[in-house]
Amino acid sequence: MTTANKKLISLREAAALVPDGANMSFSGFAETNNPLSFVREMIRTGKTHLEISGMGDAQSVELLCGAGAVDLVRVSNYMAKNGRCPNFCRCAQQGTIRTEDYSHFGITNRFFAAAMGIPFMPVKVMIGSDLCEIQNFDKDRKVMEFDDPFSGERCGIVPRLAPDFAVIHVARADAEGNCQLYGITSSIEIIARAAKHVIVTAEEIVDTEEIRRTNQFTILPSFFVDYVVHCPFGAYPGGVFTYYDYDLEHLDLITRSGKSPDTMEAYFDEWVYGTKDEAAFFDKVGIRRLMDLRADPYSGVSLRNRRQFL
Amino acid sequence: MKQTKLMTGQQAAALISDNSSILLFDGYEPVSLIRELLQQNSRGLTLYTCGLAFCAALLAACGAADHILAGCDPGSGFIPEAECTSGFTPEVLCVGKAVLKAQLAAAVNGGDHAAIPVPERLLTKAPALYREVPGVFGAGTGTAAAALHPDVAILHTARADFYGNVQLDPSADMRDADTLRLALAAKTVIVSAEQIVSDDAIRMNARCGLFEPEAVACVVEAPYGAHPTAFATRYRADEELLRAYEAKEDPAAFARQHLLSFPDQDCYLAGLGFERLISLTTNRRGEA
Amino acid sequence: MSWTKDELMIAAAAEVIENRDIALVGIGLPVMAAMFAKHTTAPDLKLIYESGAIDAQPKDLPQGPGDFPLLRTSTMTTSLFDALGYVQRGKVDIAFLGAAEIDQYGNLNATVIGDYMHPDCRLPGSGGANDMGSGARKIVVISRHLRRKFPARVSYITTPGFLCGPGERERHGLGGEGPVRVVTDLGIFGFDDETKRMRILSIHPGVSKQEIIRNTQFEILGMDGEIPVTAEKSEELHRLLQSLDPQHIYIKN
Repeated sequence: MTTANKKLISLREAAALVPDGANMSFSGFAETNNPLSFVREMIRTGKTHLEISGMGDAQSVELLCGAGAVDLVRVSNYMAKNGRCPNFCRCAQQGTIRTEDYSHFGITNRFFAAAMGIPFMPVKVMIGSDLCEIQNFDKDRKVMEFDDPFSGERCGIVPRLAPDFAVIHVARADAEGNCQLYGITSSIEIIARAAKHVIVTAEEIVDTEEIRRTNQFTILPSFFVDYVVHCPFGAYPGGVFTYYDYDLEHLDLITRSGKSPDTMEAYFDEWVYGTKDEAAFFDKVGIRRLMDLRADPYSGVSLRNRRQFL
Repeated sequence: MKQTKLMTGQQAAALISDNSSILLFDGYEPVSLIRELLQQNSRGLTLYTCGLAFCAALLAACGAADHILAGCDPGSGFIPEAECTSGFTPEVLCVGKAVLKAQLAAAVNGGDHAAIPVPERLLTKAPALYREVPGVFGAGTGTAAAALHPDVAILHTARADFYGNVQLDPSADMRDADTLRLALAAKTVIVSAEQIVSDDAIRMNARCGLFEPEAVACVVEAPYGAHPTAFATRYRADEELLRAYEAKEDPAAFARQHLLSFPDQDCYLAGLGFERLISLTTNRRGEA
Repeated sequence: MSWTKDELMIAAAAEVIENRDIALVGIGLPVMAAMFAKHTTAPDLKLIYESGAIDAQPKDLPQGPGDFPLLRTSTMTTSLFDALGYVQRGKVDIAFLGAAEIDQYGNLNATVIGDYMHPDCRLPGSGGANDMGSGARKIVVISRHLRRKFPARVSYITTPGFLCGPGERERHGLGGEGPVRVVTDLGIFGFDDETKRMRILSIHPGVSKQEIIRNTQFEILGMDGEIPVTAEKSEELHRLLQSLDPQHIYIKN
């Protein structure tokens, strides 16, 4: 565990920590809290052969599949805003990635077992279905039916799953790695507690005093966190509750670009390889657009994008 | 449907005619709107500044202001009580914050003067505004400062909705609100806001409100609208730019290059760039 | 004015909701069904979302189960682990699901068409569907009625219905009663108590038996003989339903 003054690093330094072939987990739920600045930086720096296990990480996986960076995916559900994720589907259909299917609760319980330091978790999901019957690269380490030794009740058990790296995008963190989030938390703190190494990207870095003052929003204590990166708009084009709404137009651009490898490559050339870092990316997105996406303090949505802006 | 008061910066500036008198507030400087005034080549302005005001210095340097009544002490701030070097010489009178505030308060209260002590030199320099008068309740004399009725007050705030409800951020020191409410001395109030928010958001933070919406003529959305000055609840002053401005021989030329060469606020911010704006930002949302 | 197909499906799905149910909704027509039920027969209905938004009362229609308008008005915002934990615990009375394929035992496929290892078509995956199907008390499936969507057996069982027949859910230790309704744009279907196979309950106005048979790859029970026509509700309720989605975000047909 690094000391506080070494935890705060740049995005470039953080992305460099991830080796090719790492088993990674990304935070998210639908279009929120996906660490997409980190993912773009991974793509800029050419990561490959990744193994990804996640929950709600569609946006991250879709980009990484489009960049050809992924070998294995433990998938629960990948949906774009308006339909399927074309890069992921194409890779699965062409066999360039291997998949292992879980349910949301099933895979979260695998992380939870690791988070709790126990070898497995009993569940009442996935059993009886093909999520249990069909096992691919997690064969015999996925889920099995099991009779409770105390009562004989039939259930399932899932083994622990500890990713090498969890990359989580949060609202606020201090330099030590105490993390705060507003609204729903998805499986964010669970994957962080399960992982061997944790990288936090945060919209804002605040003093520890501020964390203490508002500690009802703290979801993860610092001793789980190895590195902290100040990453404003780091979930873009996804959103972060109370900070900014998702950018539907840019999300659709990614989905449309994913229709073929050529158009996906063109997207990356323009937006990722063509911008030397995230600051350049956001200058290209445009300050105006970012300001328009800011969350209304009440509802969390962008008034311009979601309501009739007079 | 209620009428919306939302305007662009350009539309708002067009409401202000030449030779108007404008009230500005230190710490709530509507620099983006002042840039629009300069773009439209406003002339003959009289400025009342509650505190120091970079905007006043900017307007003076660019020859837009003829008179400045500054609510600060002589020798402080951007404009010395002396000539400026742009070729035009606005008349500058530093009256101190307390006196200026009292004059505005008198206007708000419907009186024609404030009974407040004023320094000797103001009685000689500006007898139209500051006079010795007989004591009212006792013997001897006192001084009277004329109530001020600016044509327009322009201020930059945190949040506003479409209908003219204007608020400071929840993290703000609401003690500033009393001073800002002196804007009601003006015949018209024009507001720029960091963010336009919903009426639900306004209701959620009702205690942060400044004025009744009826008092506000129009609202302009201007994120980082006080740049390069600070907006206390959201971002620091751009010290680098301000120091460079102060150091320049020809402030008007500097202003034209760095502040005025952008058609609007969007282009101005794009010119500053994401990295710089983030480095100045202390609080993204203005929340407590 | 007659009810559109979407509107009939919403009303049919809403009928299964009992007052004081705890319902788990995702996106799409089920959101409308829940809102309609809440405004009519089930005012005490509580909605939870798998994202962790509990008992939300949003002003704007949510665009997804974790959408921001849900969060401000929820009584609680928690983790997905908690929300789906409530399902596993048996606290959710009704859940709504869609699927790419639905078979005669109400098993649902949202994972692959074809062989899993070399799929013809890769689909989004379970998400919370398997979790809901394994633990919610009643499952209501909402779907367009197309032949390719109703095979005799799904390519892949993402969400268990009755698996291969009576007693199977129990044998695997699954909770809940399983699917109770399949609501389509052609009719409303239930499941036979004895065999657990799909059985027709009502046929929508203007739809022929042939249309249903043509669009289903297996024999639906009860197609011989008199089939009740799905009752259209009052014009007043029709107007109420239309007022809930003025911008046609969900009701498109």
